[in-house]
Amino acid sequence: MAEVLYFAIPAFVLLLVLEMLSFKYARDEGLVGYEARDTRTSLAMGGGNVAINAVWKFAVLVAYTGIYELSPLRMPADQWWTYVLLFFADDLAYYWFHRFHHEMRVFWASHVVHHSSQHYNLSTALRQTWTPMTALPFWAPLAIVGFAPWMILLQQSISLIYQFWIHTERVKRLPAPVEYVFNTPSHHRVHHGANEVYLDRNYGGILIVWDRMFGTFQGETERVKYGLTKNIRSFRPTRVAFHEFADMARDVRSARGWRDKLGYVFRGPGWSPDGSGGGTRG
Amino acid sequence: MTDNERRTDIALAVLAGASIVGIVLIGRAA
Repeated sequence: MAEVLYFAIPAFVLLLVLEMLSFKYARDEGLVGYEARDTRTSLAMGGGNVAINAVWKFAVLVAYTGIYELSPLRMPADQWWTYVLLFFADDLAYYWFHRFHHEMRVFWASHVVHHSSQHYNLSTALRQTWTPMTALPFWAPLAIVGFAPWMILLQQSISLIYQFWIHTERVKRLPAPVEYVFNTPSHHRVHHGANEVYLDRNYGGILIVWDRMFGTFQGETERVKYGLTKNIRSFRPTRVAFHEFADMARDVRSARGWRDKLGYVFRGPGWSPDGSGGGTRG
Repeated sequence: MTDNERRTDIALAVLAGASIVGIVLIGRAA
């Protein structure tokens, strides 16, 4: 099966160029806009992610196929309601994938890439991890309940395509019913904020209702400061991809005792034994 | 009922059960 995400790439590039031109010809001093070095790094991270996933998705397919074959449960591919259930199941899986990737450091080390830009534009959507392996367990329950592996990968791609357009400052707020149900540019700007009030908020993929249900919703109430609590100040792709893994390894090495070593891996990104805080957050 | 239909019924029962448990847990936490 062809990866549907590949077909969206030309549209991504076109919309990105249009947004870039909008900042050139309809400048808004209140917005962060684009910076060449930042955009170059985001595109490099996106290209790297696509290349790595071209190989890694085979391993994902094998893993989900194994789980699916072992499961006694089946969701029929020829019934419309399977795809309705798939939509909600995928979006719920995405919420927990995303939440864990912010609230546990070993996962954050992978996801931090996406938050490492101090800009917020359509190129930020393409700033993706080079270590996508950490996502695998979160969609395994869908294979267990009988969704075919191709369905899971298809819906993951549809969700990622949806999430592209919300990485913009150009769309302020949408009508209230839309803002109540869906993840929007406003909600996702909050998610990318390093402001204290915005940390660990708005994890939803397509729907924002999960955040409302699980108590992690935050509306856009103050101007967003994009990036991390401790920005990395580097545009080098390899540094962007692996800096938090390196910092985590350093903290683990320097920690005394297994409890602290495990804490640096499995507790929150800001955790340290003495409570002084460490790592980056975003 | 075919084997696949039976397996789908079980899957739907599992999803319904998980949804009910989820709603109860959220309700308790709220």
